[in-house]
Amino acid sequence: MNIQSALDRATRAQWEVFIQQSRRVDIQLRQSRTEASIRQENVGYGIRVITPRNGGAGVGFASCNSEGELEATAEKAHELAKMNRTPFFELPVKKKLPSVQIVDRRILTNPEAAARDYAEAVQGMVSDSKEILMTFGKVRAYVVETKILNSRGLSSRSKGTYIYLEMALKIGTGSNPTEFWPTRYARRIADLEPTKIVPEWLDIARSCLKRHPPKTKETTVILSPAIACDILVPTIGFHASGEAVHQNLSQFKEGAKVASDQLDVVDDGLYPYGLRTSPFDDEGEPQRRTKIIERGIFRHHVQDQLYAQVLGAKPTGNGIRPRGFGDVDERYQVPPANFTTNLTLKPGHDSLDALVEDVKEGILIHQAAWLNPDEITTRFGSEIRNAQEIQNGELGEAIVGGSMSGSALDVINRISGLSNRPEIVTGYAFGCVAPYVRVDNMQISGPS
Amino acid sequence: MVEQWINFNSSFALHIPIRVVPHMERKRADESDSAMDDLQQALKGVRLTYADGLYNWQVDLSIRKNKDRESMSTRSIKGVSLRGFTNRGWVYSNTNRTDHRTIARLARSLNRSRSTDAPQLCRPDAIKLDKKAPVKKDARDVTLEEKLRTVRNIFSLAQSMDPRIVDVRVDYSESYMERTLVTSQGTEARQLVPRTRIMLAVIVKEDGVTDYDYVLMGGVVGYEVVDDLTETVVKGTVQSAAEQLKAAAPPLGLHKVILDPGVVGTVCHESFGHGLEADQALRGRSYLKDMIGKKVASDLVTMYEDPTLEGAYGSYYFDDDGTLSRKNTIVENGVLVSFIHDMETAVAMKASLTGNSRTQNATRRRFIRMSNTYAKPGDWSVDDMIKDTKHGVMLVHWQSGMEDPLGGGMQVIAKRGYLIENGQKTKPIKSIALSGRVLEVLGNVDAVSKEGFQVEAGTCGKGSEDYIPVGSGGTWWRTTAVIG
Repeated sequence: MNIQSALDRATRAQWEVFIQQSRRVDIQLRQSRTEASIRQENVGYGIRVITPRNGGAGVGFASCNSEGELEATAEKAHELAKMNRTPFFELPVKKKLPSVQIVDRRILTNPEAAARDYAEAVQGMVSDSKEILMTFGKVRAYVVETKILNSRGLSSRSKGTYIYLEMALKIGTGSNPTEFWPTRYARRIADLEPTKIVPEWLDIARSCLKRHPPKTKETTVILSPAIACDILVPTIGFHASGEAVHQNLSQFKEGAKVASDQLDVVDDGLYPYGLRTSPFDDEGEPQRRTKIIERGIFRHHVQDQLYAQVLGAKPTGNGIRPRGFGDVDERYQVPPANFTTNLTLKPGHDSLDALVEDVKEGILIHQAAWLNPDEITTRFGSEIRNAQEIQNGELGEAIVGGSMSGSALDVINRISGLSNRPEIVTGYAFGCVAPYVRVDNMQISGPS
Repeated sequence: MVEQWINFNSSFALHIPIRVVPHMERKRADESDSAMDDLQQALKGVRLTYADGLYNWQVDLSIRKNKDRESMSTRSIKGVSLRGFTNRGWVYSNTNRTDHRTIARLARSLNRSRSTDAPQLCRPDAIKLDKKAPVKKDARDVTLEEKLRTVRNIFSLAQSMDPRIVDVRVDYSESYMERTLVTSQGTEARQLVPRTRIMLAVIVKEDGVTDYDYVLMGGVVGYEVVDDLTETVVKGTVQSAAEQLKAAAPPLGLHKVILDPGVVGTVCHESFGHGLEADQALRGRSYLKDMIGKKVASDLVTMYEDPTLEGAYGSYYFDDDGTLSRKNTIVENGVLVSFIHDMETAVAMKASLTGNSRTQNATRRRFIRMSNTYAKPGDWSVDDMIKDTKHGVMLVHWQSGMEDPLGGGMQVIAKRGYLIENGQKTKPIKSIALSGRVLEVLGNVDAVSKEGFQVEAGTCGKGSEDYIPVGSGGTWWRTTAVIG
């Protein structure tokens, strides 16, 4: 079926169709055996229709996963667009696209073999560690082809790969075990190389064997890249958006001091093998690099098509379809929103060891239960799952339990150091490149 | 993890998916009859001792409004999941292409994993069932115009109530889940479960401080849910949002706490219940593994896991193994009675099926999951509970929670609360994280209220994936826990 002519028949308004086609291989592990293996083939279409009306517009969005339903789906989107009220905006036209790196050849060629070999490597490395048990793990490999077409002549496509690793690493026996339970996506195996990541994660699990809860106090903390991702992506992401500006909710004004001098943040839609790296955003606009914070000064908001046009700004390639409750290959089910691509924190000059050495008393936090900060107030509170105390510049016993709390706006003002090794990370949030981040005066609560 | 709040910016990964749905096509019956036939045919070609096929069709409608814009979206997503049980675990072939050729091809692909010595499964009795959850007012009979008008009216009403309001967000969503299950055991079952929700959030700003509060109502209900969002409820939400502008930070450390029914439900579901999922026990990943018959809570605590609770968000007729739903007592007077099971764990742990095998949709695998988890009411009045507390903190309006199935740690976030001073509810406080060891918190329960029973709607992930609708609740509790 010719998608374009089907949509042209269904509506004379502006339209776009976002298509994802994927192969996904999922291997789920229980200790030394396979608990489930899942092979999957998916395709899906997300259609957005914009109907100009009385100086404004109506916007309708409909998705389906059958080519045979495309015309009916376009009609539904059109029906919805005729009813509601939104500021008018236009879809992008075709522009020159940047080249990006988002493909792992091995996954692309044979995702099933890539996932299987990866899972075996991970299982082998964990089983070599006698005192640690992988109670549960997941390995997934994806090949995702994305295409976007619109009524203004835009037609772009790209193909990318992903790999996902989740492990629940148990240490200790009897009535007192604990675990380290990290998850991470990457575009290529090299960024999630078992020989590198598994020993790191096993070390963190091992460090938790002897542990105690924290005392209630304000103290210096060093946040792992994944925790920095979880605190900063939802909050800086929201306050840096044109949407937050238009709603009078953004705490960031251009030229204002918003963070510690040590903080530089770029929205880098082109970061090599970044999780949200793509030649074009999810509306078809070329992705790029946008300075958000430079030495603590807020520089630029990020814009999608709607808010750029409402605010009289230029789009910055920040129309992003989130994963929502789906996966990276199910984003066609969600309309685009104004958000960051890869929130990238510029690394510092010191190693993690040097950051630790400078701390008289503090905590290195590897993992929290779920930071889930409130994007408007930026407040968060979460149980500490895996951490180590720092005494006189040295790592000591593990801290497990109690909670950390604060606001992201305070956190970025209290940054006193960043490590020199940035990582492409995911926590629960997605799209971040961060090093370890040292923050002074973080509130910690414990039973005493 | 479990979450009630819908993040404002839909870009963030963990928001509740209220996109979609107007008119589930009336040709539904034809399509799902055909899906059942296709699955039956396909399973005939599978040479495994056990196999099944699940067809899932989800149709949603979402209407959202704030001061910037209105957005309306629909989704119609179909998928088929075929699986077989082998000596190398479960093998799945999933697709969202639902034509009979693809289904047949995927069924044949299961034979690549042919296995002659698969472990035993506890297979449920074969059922023949075709059920549709009843609602008072089928949302498909209400026009889109009427739904949009309702959303606009709620928006305007809330916006007019306080000059400090900078934005109001109203989200209406309806979803229809049609699930057809065919098994090699002979089950042919179909259920249509509608779920409808409405949320109002009020954002206020004064002297540079921004805060908000929200209310969310939903369940296996129809359009009647919007009638519950009355002017009084709207007014209460505006007032509690404004109250947050002056609210203090919570006190820190170990405190006597009074928990509202939503927070109690989150403790029961998130902090306690995830350790009851028997797959975690088989993995050696449950803090409750050897606790059946042992004391896990105060005598005042009795808990249920109940997918039959009428109208609750996590209700269904049969689980995704084909086990009929039933009410399960999980804790009785403080003693652990039962884990929750699927076909695999029931055999391994010599237990009965409990009807808790669930999947998000046909692109995911089936796991052991909760449905509606709630605590039994006690005999205290809430007033007496407050009067009897010299110093403490009241936590109201749960927002999210995160599980720790191995360690039994807890994290529950409440949007707001109040100090209790000399037996009286006094100053409002801001969002509060409840942490500590869940068995200690359950053991410390010294009062359970008789009134206020409520089961609230939420969305639960197993870890950070595989989201399903759940209900959780109970009545008011008093206990001791770490807050921060």
